[in-house]
Amino acid sequence: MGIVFTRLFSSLFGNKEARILVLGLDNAGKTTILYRLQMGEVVSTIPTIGFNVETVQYNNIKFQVWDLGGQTSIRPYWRCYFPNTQAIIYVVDSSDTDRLVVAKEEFHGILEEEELKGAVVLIFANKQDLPGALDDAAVTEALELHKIKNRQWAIFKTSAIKGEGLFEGLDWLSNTLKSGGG
Amino acid sequence: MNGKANVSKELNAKHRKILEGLLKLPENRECADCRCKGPRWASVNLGIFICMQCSGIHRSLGVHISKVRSATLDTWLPEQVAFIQSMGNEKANSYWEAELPPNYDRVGIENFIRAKYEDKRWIPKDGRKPKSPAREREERASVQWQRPSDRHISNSVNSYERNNSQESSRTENVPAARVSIPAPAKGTNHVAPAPVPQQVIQKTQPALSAVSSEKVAEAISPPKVDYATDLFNMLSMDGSSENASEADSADDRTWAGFQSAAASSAADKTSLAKHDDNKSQSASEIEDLLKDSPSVAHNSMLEQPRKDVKDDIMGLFEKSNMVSTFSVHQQQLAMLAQQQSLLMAAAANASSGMPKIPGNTLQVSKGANLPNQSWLNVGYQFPGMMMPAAGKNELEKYMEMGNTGATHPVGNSFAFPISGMHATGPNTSSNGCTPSGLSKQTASSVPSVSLQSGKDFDFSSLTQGFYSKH
Repeated sequence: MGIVFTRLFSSLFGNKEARILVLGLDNAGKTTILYRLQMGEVVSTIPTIGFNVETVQYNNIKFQVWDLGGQTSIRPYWRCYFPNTQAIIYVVDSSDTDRLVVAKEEFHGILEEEELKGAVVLIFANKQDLPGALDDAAVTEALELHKIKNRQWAIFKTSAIKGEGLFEGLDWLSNTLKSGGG
Repeated sequence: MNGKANVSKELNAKHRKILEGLLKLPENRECADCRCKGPRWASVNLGIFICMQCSGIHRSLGVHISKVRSATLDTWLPEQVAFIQSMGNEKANSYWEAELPPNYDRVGIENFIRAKYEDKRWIPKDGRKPKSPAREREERASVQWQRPSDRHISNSVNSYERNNSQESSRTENVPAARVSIPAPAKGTNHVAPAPVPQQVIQKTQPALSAVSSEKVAEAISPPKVDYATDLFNMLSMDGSSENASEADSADDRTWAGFQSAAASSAADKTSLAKHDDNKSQSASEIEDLLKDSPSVAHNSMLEQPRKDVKDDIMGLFEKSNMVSTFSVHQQQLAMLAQQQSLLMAAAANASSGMPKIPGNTLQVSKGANLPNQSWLNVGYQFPGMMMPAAGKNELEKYMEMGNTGATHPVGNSFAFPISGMHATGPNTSSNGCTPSGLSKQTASSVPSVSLQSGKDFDFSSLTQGFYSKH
């Protein structure tokens, strides 16, 4: 009940909170994206063993963004973070074409999770600055995004290093979340 | 590739063992780039072991230059294991640092790494290929290296089915880039991938990357060993442009010359023969843990074989309601691994507001609401490293690395004497391995980010999780 009032109250003042998970294979650029969004800087990162969490205020939405490590053996822990998640940002290294199949499998595995049924999905085709990076259409194809049913989703070409596409994605996310999706 | 579905538990356990063995070789005991001790990460296409700090830099180069995997946290493909086995730090550096002036100052490790691999500043001017004199005399084996673009599963399955139906002409059906790179591989037994009957995909392993035994190697009189790295460079360069799984032998101009039909069919035979060996692998419990649901994983953690450990945990649970978790930590160093999972789960639960784990949750969640970076436990995911062999010494060694969390400019203050607890080991200065230039660099450019100085096994997880951020 208290939660209902809190939500009502904050929605009256235009503030909304959203819990976002940033997922993707290792070295997709999740941490770089997180800190690019939060600090506007490119940071040098090391592999995330565990998670990073930051709050990003954007378009009157307070995004609580969880960036989870992507190494093979810690992916099973993603599900610990699934409850109460409004949106997934799935990050793909568009230049790592060898592993798009793995990325696809992980992605569709996530979509099947019951706890994420209501979550909207934003895909970042990241690392567009690298040679050989696939564009959004090719990534859409490779991830078989057309198979997504009963869910709002969008894909954006991004380069976390150059800062391109990220806030366009957040725009979509905030509009989608405001309009009730998720 | 590197999907858990592609590599069976048994195979993965086998790979772990091989990698552990490789990490114990003198040449691989220090990072290939910064010389830091105890690397736990690797570049699978360069065939080198590196430390976590350098792995971060390698990752930023892009996968067309370096593909970074954890030796402990990632699932490796058979061909990746075979390649790093045939390469290693010494051989790789004899190529990449051939023209490197002695006593070169590696301050600013990022610049060094970029110059080394991106600009190829120090590769041999005379076109020499990488060499490892020490290993050259060892038994020769031909490593089937496969071009990355052929790793699509569907492709593998198809090729397997085709192979199955026509045993004799198998090589014709092998997916495109079969390059036979004869390379000195130590212990061919280890390299042979494990065909696992239950899963179709594993069955393709023999065809995908096979390593033949000595007698096969003799029979086909392998070409020069030295081509491994060069081939590999070409592989990684080509990889980005040729992404389609359909890249088949038709467009395989470059590689045709290296193809060795005899090698691959013979290799298949050998690896099938090795089939039985693989069953002896038992260390797959860890994978079980990982694949379980979080709560189950948590429980099964408690049921690990070590009885004394179990008692400790139970004690932990009893105490945790009244005793600070930190003092529990201090008393029960050996329990760190298990504690980690609690932290993890607690952090997750704290955010979702539905604590499922009794006991520790209350204390932990305070810290976990705003952690700068919390860390999963690394240790228990890698049994060989932590539990059985090394025991407490090893544990303490890793725990010293926890210091890095405290020494780093995470931009917050924290009163608990956690770093003190880590300072018990003999060589506490885990930061010392990081070149000073690097830590300066990191510190200045990244004020509050979780860029813990590199240690691969970072028990700073413990401390990190509790730092609140302001």
